[in-house]
Amino acid sequence: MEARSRNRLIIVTGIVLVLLAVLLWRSSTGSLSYFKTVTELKAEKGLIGKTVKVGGEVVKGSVKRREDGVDFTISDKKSTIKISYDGTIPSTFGEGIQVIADGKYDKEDLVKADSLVTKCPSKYKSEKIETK
Amino acid sequence: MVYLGNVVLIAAVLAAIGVLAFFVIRLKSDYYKPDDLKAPYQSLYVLFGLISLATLVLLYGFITNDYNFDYVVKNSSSDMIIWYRMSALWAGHEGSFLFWIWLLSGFTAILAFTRSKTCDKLTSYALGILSGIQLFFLAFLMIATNPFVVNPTNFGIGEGINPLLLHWAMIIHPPTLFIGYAGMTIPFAYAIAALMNRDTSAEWVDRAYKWTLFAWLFLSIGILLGSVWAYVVLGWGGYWGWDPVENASLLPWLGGVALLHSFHIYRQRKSFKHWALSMSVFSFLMVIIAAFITRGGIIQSVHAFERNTTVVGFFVTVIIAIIASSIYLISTRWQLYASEHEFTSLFSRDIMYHFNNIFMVFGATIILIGAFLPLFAGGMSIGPAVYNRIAQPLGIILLFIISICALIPFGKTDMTEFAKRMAAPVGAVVLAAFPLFLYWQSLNKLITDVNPKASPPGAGWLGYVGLLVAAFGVVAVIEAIILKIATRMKASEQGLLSAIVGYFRTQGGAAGGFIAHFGMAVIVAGLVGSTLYTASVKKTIPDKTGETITVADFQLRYKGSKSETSATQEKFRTSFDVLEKSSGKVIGQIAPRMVFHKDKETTTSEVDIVYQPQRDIFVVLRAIDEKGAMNFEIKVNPLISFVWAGSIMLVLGTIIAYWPRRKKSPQNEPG
Repeated sequence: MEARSRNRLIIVTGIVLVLLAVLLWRSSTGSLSYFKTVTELKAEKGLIGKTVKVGGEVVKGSVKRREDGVDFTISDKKSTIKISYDGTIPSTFGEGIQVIADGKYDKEDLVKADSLVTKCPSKYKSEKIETK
Repeated sequence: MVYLGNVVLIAAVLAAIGVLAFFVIRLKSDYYKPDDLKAPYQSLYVLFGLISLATLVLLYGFITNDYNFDYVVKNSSSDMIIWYRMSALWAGHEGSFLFWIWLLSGFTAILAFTRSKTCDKLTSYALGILSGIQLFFLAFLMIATNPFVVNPTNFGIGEGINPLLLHWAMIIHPPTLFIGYAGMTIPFAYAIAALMNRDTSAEWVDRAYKWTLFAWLFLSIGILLGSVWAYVVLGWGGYWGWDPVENASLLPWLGGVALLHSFHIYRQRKSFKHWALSMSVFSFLMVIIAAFITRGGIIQSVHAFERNTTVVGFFVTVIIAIIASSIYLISTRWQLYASEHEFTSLFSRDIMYHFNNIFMVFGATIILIGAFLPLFAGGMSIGPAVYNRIAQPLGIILLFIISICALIPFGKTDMTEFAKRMAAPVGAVVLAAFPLFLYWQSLNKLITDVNPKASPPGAGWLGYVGLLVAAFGVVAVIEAIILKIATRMKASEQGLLSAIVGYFRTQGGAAGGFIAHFGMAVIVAGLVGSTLYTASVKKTIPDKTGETITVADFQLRYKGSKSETSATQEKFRTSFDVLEKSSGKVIGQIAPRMVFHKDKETTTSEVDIVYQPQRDIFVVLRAIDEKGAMNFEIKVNPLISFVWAGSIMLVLGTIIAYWPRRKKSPQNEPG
């Protein structure tokens, strides 16, 4: 085996890896979000204006559906925060459901979400399915 | 019954210890005598029998609604039909782990049976390793997630499962993936067996190849089923949300792609040996990590789950043990596994395989970073937008690599020959450039046509490039197949038809590979349309027959609604005619529904879809207000049928490659 072709391969592979790293870097800068609980989020004022991900339970009686979205409050049992979401509402969404909202931490008490996932009351966590 | 389950489980653990010890003792003897291994091989059947019995006990619990089983209480209920109750076997992590071990012990027994005539040394080592893995899993099952826990209250009616999951695709999706996961253990066992024996021949690859293909086939089908379910049931209009659990299933799949291609070169060229060994380990590691992500309770996701320290400790130990021992084995034998054919040219099929592997490992790494980042970086996480931005260009580049790869040989490429072969795909791209440009323009316009307030797509030229590369790929792969068949016709003076039949019969591996890669090109075209150019709009109409909703070039005409009430649910069903705006011709009927589940006090939407070849019209009933006005979301998904069609080709190609065939030709070329 020629040492020359091996070296060339290593160099080309290196270049490709660098390009992939650049792609990763460029795609993720400014798009990473911080995953917080409601209490953690409210304690960190520095995150206002940044992209965040926050999870909690939808407070009963807080859901207001709008033409292109929904407003509601989520709670982690200690604190609450308002979520204003624009987009398709997942079919599992409802009061008392665990959700994760992803979007801009707009004001101290408001997250403007552009993505909303309900923690699937999936088979994997049957304990959490409300059956009372 | 639940006590019987525990007794059987303990017996199985003891049996597994016995089997492992049996293998170790017989393999330790100075001379390898195949006849000595007959008894350990047979002991594997006993182990399989015991694990089967344990699985049957649990299944019996579901069938008879035996609420002494805590696991049955939590995952089933008496009002579910028998098939759903039986499928609840794999509904929770305890049962799915048992099911997984059962599959693994079954595959091990089959492997032992098929090799029991020769009892070759490699297989014996591999079986020993497989029995060790089973012991480990069984012990874990008993300590951390025992499915045979007694229901403490001895009272219950069963909690049932989420109504969304009661769908055929969701019932068979988990076992399909588990078959893939269990199957991926076999190449790992053979790789370690080869390393332990310092066996550098291709024998271990020959033995493991079909198992890997089989496992990968099931992973592909499993992922496809999950996507179909997400699309038709979840109602958000997409099929892939980059959710950590979805991503988890992709990890062993990506590893499997790299592994299959490494195996191919290993057998053909006696090179890529380091790749083959490390990818065997990597794929198995990805299986373990996938199980860790879905069952370990580490990562927050749509699929919520509990955090469990025993489980986490177990997984971390296993992962570290696998990495450490594999690094030790591979590094101490590095020189031994040097390739017989090294790269001589930077422009050859070998190099394309090399970069394909790098892409696969890179993809898996991104997903791993995405999965574990929230744990280490102060809650930082990667969202779907980031995954998309990375995956879209990579997918297009990868397809380009695949297409070129179909046209160049191993070793060194003859540039004049290559230029000749490039003529057809390049010609096709030139011819298609203008029509595809117009089509791409129409895709760009679609978003604002559907919803004038929406911002136009930010994809820029990427979509157009994607469509061009897909066209290039389709033609390149077809040309490669034609060239193969033409060579065959010339060589054996056969007619066209018999050459095609003969090609599929004797070189099904290569033929299947071409079909799978053709499918990849079709999938990429579908992904371009359905991820970059989906358009959506929300409209509200009163509950009045004849109301219309006009979107882009079609119209929905309301025909009325109907309420259906049953013991467990109330269903509100709306129905529409879908018309072509210009001609008024009816092109379909849809009935989006809303379902209120009384027992769970939840509402779910059941979407309805008009399937057209070039796009889907997807309609969700989102809400009904006090006055009866209904709010709908209408989505247009261009080219999504290409994703399904391409996936089916990918699966078919893999089945053709897997299909047993007569070993007539000496070079039984795999895909």
